Amino acid sequence: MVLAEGVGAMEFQELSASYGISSVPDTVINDGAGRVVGALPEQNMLAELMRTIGKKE
Amino acid sequence: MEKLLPENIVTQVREVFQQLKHPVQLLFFVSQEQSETCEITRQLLDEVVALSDKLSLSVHDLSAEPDLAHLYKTEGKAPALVIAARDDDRVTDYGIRYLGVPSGHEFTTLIQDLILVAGRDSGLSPQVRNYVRSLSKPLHLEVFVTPT
Repeated sequence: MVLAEGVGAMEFQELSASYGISSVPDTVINDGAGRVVGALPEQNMLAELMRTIGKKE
Repeated sequence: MEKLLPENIVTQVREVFQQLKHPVQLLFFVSQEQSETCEITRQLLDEVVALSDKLSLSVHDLSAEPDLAHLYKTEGKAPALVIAARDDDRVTDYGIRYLGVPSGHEFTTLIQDLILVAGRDSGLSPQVRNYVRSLSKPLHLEVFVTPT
């Protein structure tokens, strides 16, 4: 299952700080295993997912 | 109480909500500790939900309903909004959440999320769909945003 959370960085400052969020949007994959900074196309997100958790499981 | 949404936005949102295909259930989790942001968000959601009969809102206190918070993985997170599908009495969780106050840019995100869930379609490419379907472990995405 996929849990996809939009997180308001202002309201969740501790969580933001724990990942060192300095610009938005910033996408954290599996609690820090992967990261996509900026609003990138879907393909970039897919590439980072594959890099982080593997091509196929 | 004074409305958060100005009249011109209400008109626009009402029009966009014509696109809502199927019912959407919003589960909103609040806490005493974050009462101020929860209260603002609650009012905003009340005003949004009033603009379409496809939308329903339920409000839950994290400490009063720990089992429900556990089920929806919102423990320790408030304000937390679960945007789920509803078909008759059956609620289907797609794992879509917004944590915080969905104002400014994020108000648009909220409206788009509602349309997506109402359409029961992520809009993702076949390649991404296939990849996600192939996963054997849970995937957690946290997209940090600000209203500006």
